[in-house]
Amino acid sequence: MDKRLKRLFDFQRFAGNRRLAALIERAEFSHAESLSDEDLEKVSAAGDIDTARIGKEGEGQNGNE
Amino acid sequence: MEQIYREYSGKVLRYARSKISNPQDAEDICSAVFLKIQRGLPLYDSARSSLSTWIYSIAHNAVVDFYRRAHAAELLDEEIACTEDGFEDIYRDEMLEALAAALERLPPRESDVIILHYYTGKTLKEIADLMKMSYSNMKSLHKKALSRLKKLLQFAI
Repeated sequence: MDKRLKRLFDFQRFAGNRRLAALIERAEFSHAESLSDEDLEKVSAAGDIDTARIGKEGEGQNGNE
Repeated sequence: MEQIYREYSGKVLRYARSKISNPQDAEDICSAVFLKIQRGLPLYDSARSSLSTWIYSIAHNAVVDFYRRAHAAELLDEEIACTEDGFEDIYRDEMLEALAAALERLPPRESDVIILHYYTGKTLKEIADLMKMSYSNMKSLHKKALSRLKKLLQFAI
């Protein structure tokens, strides 16, 4: 059973059954590991970009006032 | 051949990418698989296996060969690394539907344990940590989930 299940799930990587993919996504999302330092850096970098963009938008708005 | 490429290139590439982290290597595997398909097509016997099963087997063997050439076969799960397993009967879309239907009938935690262990490849210890459970409780949960799944799938796999 173990071997068959592993092979069947391996076949899923090829076949991409949608119903099974939804269950996999739910399982992986529900039990996602906490973010690594690298992930946090990416989030932080993305935040910087947003902050910069918001800052510029804010300046633009202020300029229009 | 063009139709086969259109229908299966995405699947072969997705499979290769799920197994090989370097995108260029995954694309090389994909090209090699389609070369093998082209050469093997005159010998393909639809009475022995479906086209999908045949192409999956070629892709699977190409990935195993890649790891063997790189002397990194230990990185593949030994049960997945085997290229002569006689499991052709399960490589059908109906089997995946049956598995999905059975998993949907399990309590979510049991279904998650099965997926995280057999698909994602996490150990029971790792899943126990993720679910904030003791290892012994996780082992019981896994046993229960597997037993329930066996009953639900007994006529399928």
